[in-house]
Amino acid sequence: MRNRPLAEQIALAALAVVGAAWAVAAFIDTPIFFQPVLFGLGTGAIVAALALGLVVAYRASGVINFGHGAIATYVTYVYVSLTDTGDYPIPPLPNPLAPIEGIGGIELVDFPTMVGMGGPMHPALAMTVALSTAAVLGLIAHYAIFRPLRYAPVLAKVVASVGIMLFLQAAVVLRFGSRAKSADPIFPNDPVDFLGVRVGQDRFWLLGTVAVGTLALWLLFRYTRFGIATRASAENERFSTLLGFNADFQAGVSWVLASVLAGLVGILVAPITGVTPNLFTVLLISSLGAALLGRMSSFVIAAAAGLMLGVLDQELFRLEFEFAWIPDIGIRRALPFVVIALAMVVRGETLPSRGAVQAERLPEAYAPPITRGRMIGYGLLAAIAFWVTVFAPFQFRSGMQNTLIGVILALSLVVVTGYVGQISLMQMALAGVAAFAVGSFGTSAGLPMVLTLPLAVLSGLGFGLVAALPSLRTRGASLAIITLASGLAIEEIFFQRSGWFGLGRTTKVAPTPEIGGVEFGTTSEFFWGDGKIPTGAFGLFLLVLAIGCCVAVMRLRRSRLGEQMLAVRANERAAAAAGVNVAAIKLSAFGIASFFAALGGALTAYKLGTYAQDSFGIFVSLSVLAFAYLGGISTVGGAIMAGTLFAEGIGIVVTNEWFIDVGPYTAYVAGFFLIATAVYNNEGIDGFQRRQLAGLWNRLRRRRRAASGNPPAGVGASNE
Amino acid sequence: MSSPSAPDAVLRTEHLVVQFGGLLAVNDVNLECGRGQLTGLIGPNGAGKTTFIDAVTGFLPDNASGSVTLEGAEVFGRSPHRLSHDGLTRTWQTLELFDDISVRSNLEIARERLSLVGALADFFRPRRRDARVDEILELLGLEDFAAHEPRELSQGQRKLVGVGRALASTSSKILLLDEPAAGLDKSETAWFGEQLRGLVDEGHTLLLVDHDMGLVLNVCDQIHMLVFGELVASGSPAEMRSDPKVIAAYLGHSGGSE
Amino acid sequence: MTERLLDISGLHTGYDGVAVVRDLELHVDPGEVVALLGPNGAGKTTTLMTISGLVQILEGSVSVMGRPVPKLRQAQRVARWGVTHVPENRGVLFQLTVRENLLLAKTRGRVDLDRAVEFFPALGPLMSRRGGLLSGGEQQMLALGRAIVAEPKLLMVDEMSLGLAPVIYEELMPVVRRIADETGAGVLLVEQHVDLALEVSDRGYVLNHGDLVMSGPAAELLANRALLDASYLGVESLE
Repeated sequence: MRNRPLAEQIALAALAVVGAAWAVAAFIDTPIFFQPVLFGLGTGAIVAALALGLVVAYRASGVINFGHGAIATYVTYVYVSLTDTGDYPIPPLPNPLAPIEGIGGIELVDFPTMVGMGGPMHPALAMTVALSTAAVLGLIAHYAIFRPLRYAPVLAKVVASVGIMLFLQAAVVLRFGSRAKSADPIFPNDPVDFLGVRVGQDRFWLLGTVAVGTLALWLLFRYTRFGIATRASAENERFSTLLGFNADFQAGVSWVLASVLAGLVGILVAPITGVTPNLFTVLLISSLGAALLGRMSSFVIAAAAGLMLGVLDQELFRLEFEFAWIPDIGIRRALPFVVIALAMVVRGETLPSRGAVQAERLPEAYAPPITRGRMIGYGLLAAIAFWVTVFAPFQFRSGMQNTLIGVILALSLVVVTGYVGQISLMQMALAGVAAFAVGSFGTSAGLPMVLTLPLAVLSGLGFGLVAALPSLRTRGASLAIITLASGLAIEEIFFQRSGWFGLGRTTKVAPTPEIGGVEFGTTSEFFWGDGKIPTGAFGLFLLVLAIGCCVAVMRLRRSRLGEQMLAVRANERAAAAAGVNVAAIKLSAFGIASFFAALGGALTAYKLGTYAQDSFGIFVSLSVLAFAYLGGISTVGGAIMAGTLFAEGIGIVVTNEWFIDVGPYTAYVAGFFLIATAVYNNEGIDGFQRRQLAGLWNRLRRRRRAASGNPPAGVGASNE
Repeated sequence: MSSPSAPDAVLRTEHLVVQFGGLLAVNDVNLECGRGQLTGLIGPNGAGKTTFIDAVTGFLPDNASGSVTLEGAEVFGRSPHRLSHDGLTRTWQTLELFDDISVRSNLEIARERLSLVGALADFFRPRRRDARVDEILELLGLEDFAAHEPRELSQGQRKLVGVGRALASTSSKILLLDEPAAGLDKSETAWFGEQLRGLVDEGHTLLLVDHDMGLVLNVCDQIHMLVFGELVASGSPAEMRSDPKVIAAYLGHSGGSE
Repeated sequence: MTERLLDISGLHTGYDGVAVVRDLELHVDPGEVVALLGPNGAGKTTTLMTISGLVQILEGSVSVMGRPVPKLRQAQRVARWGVTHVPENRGVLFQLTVRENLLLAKTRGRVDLDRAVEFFPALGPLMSRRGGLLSGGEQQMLALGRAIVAEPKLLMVDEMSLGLAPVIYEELMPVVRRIADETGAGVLLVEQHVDLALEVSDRGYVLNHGDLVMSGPAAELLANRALLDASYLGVESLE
């Protein structure tokens, strides 16, 4: 048995090397070398502190909480609001009168958004209230979300935590807007001279706080009975239960602790850096890297790694700035990815997993039987889609186009996540690669569409396959993290730079789609419809492609490849024993998924005409997963459902036009339903309505049988 | 490499060792499975029976060493899916069926190696019905359940699906059964034993790992016993029944002492 | 009538609604050692898990000191009533040191580490070693030592001899007797090795394929040797 896992060795070795280098460098010229270190310690302390919270939650419940940063953000905004104006924000609640108001076009009541607490609050009091809010969030996270998901597949847990992230972040934007906020300083911030560098002393205070916190957590888990028992539960819940310990209670306490910690970080940091709705979630990616280096279990290593990341970031920044020969390829931005890749790929499946068995099933990959009735149904659906695409009023046509692209994007997740069970959080990055390639090949190089589109899709496919290589060694939450980091790396290294797959700092322009001289862009003239933009031409092109993709995935589900995918999803070991080449199946799934993602991205480029990076960012990837899961992650029907719900999709347009304007609430509502779906109905809307219909049908049949006096025979009868 | 003896041995291990840290889970095991025979492997809990199967079927590449020959060819070190194609197939104690696809598909998966071309061709032509799968389903009495998903079946039937999946492999030469009777009651076990005997009569070669002495003694042709990872006794059922080492291992006393 | 320490009647228990143990009648009184015997797969471990609340009762009842075993979620309460269960794989936490393992013997209150060392002096020098680095025999000593400092009213030990060499478990067995004699705790001992278990037991029960096939005082069971062996080797003479 090895005493130290490899990642710890790597981390320690890196620490030693960098430390030595700095010592030498500092000896030569102290201020220049220490400046980035001191600047970096500020960010590093935040990263470290967030990593500590991640480790606490993981140790007690085995959940990697993607929503941890969002909890920090939410609590911080509560604090800022309390100290600023004394208003306590009420999370947006559904207004029961909204449908009436929407239809009637009237405003009946003003739903409260804030509760006044009588003017600006004293920081200490505000902090107490804000941290209590954090504690409540922790309790909700545990008792309403992760406890019910205790035996659920990792996918459901990842999705639920992504849901928390979307929900809280959207709540912040709804209540406070997306502008940066700040607060009065908590730590003294007079500058001090340290080793010849002048820096604000607040970062030393922050650093000290993080050090004290790390020490406290270490002591708690090392010496108290609660801490020892929590470690025992993490190793084997059954054993600790036999000893009389309640793992559930431990998890609840730890969730509260983790949330309070997150909130505290935010509150202490807000005065120093200011806070934006997604600041902590972006930093969380670095924290994930740091926590992973500590194997999600060592507070000291996680905190040290967090600080290192902050320092390295500044150091690289200085080096890039100082030495022209260092290629400006965004290494600095990709740092978290490099760290995560180091921590995970080198060691494969490494996270200490909890002893609990996975009792619950993944969402059913339902393959509807092909009957005449069903074919007629599909035909009808296609006909309606055709009518909306071509003849409906322009806003509906536009919504339809978004939906059709959304369906293709969701299909990519149906294949890789639904059929093979591999969580990918990088699909929009692949879409972005293809989208920017459209601009490069089509506009810059002037290639015709028949070449541009395949080349763009191949680009996305290539990136996807390379990025999928780690999936062969990791799975579950580890894979989710590494795909998230890959997506971020692609975004940072390529998108922000000019080149074939990026766009510099401007926007990119796609050529008008045409084949053989016939133009069919969104503005091209079309002989059907009202002639307003968007015309039906491009929509029709999308419709044909989307139908083709749906049919292809349906066929895939029934093909041998599809069944092997489901076998891999059900049980990798057993699949291998049955002769399935698991690595090949995973790679092909990632390949197919990348193809769909890239196609979706390229089509987005053609649809938008002029587009920028923000359509393909990491958060768009997360919301694509959210909508795909919400619709139904493992069925084609689910992908179609996801498409209609998609940002500005036809479902949203219809709701906006006929009922209420849900626009600003989309992410918020989606986050909520995503959590609910993960916890209560993992098959999404598609599975839900299928089961309802099946139940209805069975009831009807039974009633008819009862009416005709025939007792139901055989199998199904006892199944009530 | 030519095998010096017993050309009728389908599977042979030589000096098979599995080591987990300081623990020798399987210690220098030499064992043969004769063609068309049902070979039993018994031993108390923790004796290394399942570890032995895992090592033979390629699931312990980092911990195992030694030699495994399949019909005289050295196969040690190959990956599990490769071994499955080579004809070395297994079942699992905990079943590990593919719950999302039909019984028929569970069997079909093991049928052939899927090439890129083959996978693409599936999109354009209807799938052929595999006659061999029908045969196996019939052999195991599962033909009426082909379209059902495994979780709709009884425990005994699910065990048979596991056996069928292993049998369906393209060229199953030998089938390693890991505790197939676990969780079955007495009458189900007896019935299951008959099914296994039926397979052997059809010409299949089986290695049965089980702790149910009744089942093993009743259906096997040849029995080996592992204790602490070592092969301590081998013989026919009659010989094993009266072997003091077997009795000692199972009852904690030596049969002759009383 | 005094309350039985452990009283099981008409118990059907198992997994996923399938009974692995059927119609079991069993009881344990304070100060006695009771052996639960049977071949592998007979349902002995499942029975212990049911008593500890980790497996759902399908039918019948299990009561510990007059209290019914709670629902699955609340299983930890059984341990707090004074039931200590040393599971088959010993329940030693590999990531924790010997001292930490012993500290978890109780959920609150002081733990008397010295008492464990008194029973097993070998544990003394191992206090700061991780559980995972102990030998099988040392792990079993740790598990029993932890059970002793927990001061149980009912002690359940599952397959103590598993994976241990005879010299080791032959030394450990008498300790079980000693616990019962010295502390007045009732002991339920699950064993595959018949002789070993009956040597230290007052009474015994034999399970086979989930059915209770024999029960009675230890001496009586030993006298019925042939029948006992038959139930193990699956000879058809049993009904």
